[in-house]
Amino acid sequence: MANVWFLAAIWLGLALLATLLSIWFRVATALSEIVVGTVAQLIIGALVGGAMLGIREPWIVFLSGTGAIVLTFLAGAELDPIVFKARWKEATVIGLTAFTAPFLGCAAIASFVLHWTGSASWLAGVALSTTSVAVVYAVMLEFGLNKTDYGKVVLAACFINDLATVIALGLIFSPFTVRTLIFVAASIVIFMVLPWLTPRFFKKYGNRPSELEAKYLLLLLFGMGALALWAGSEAVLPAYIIGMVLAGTVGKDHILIRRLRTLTFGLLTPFYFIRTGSFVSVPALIAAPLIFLVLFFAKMISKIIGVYPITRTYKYPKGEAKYTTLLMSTGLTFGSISALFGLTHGVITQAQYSYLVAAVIVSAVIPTLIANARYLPHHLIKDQEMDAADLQTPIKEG
Amino acid sequence: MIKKMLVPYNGREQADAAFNFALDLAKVYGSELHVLSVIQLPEPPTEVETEAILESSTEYYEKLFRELRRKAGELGVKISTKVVNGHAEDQILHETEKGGFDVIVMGHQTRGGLGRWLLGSVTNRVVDHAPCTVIVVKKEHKKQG
Repeated sequence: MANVWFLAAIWLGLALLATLLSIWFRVATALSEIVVGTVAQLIIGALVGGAMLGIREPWIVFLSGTGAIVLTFLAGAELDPIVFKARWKEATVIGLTAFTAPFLGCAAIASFVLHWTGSASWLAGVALSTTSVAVVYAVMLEFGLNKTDYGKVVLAACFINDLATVIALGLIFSPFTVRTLIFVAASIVIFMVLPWLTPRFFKKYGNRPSELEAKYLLLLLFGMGALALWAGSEAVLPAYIIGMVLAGTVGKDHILIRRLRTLTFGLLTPFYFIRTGSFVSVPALIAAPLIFLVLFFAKMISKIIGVYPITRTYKYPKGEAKYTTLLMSTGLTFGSISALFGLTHGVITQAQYSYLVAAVIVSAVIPTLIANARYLPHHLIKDQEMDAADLQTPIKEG
Repeated sequence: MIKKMLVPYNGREQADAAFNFALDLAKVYGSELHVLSVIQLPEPPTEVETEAILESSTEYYEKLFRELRRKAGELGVKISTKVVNGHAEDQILHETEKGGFDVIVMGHQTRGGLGRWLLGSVTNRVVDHAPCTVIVVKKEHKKQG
């Protein structure tokens, strides 16, 4: 037992360090945790051996996996179902285009330029096809576009983009058998019943110190995750869809969501992101730095080809269209989940995993830096010239 | 004549000093005070964490605003508050344009870490680009009323 607590102390120490770094440098906690995981594995591995961090210990794998599942569920629960129902057709077209262009483009580059195997190339396509709802949401809110038709459609499209990513991840590498059909059929029934059952169940038995809601949701996520694994799929697929179907009920319960966030950020996701970072091989990156740059540019260029024309179709000013396109090229959470899936299922090698995670991290940072550096001064000086600027949305006004 | 003043407010000592200075001015000129707080998200914003930061920061500022309203109320100064998300200087300048403010009263606000190195001081950029007078208050100015 002493070893377990010692390991737990090391991991929580790293989590605390990552959090402090994220505060000092104002970067996302997830990004900080991945980098800390990579550096810690490198240093600890060199000093006392790679096994010291215990990244394959079952309890660490469990906490890390639970972190990915609950985080994915919470991400799905952020969907605004009213907006989505109103504009789902346009959002689906944009979201699927924003997924398909980088998915096919990056898979093609991985296969024909980097000469990766077929499965590894498809995995690269999935990992680099993601977008970040959070980045786009933050920008929409900043410019007050979240209340416009344009903003609502693009935000909903981001959810479709990520949904397509998790479906691709869950099904492309799954052997299509009777189990797959059972999983899909059972999922459809459960996803239809949940929005009806859950609020009624919570109303009757919830709001007690025994945290029935958390147990119910974890049971659902673990149960559906088990079914997905049994069918050869991936647990984050049902988790994201459960989040989306419960967005209108559980997602609106801010107190419950907060309690889940505390559990997630306080314990689970540090294990997930630090573990994600610990698998990155720095020597592999140093040996062939061009590979991750090729993947990064493949993602950027294919996203631009997919997203920019759509934003212009909506007759949006060129600068704003470029800004949105750059910000839709990010995608840390689902990109890292996809890459880790590939590594743990033997689809990609550790070196390929390292290139993918590096490309995902760079694609999470560089586009926002370029967008802010290139376009922000225009907003500072010429803000008054933009019609959209009049729509700035206060989060709270008194 | 100063009719409308904008006070960017981040809850720090410098911002408190600026608010107190603005209160002094508002009392003398009978001006309205508009307090603006900007939530600056970490880069890059990530799923779930973004919403959590927006919620907790809004609550944090709301708690601080209660005290600011109390202080203004005691002096009979009209006050309004607003929380927005984005880059601090961008939102301050945008609010100034939109609200037609006569003066911006702000503390010497800086960014932390990489942000300061890359983009410089928030105050400097506001002073450079603001369409109105900007008063930068030293944090030593604490006297109120």
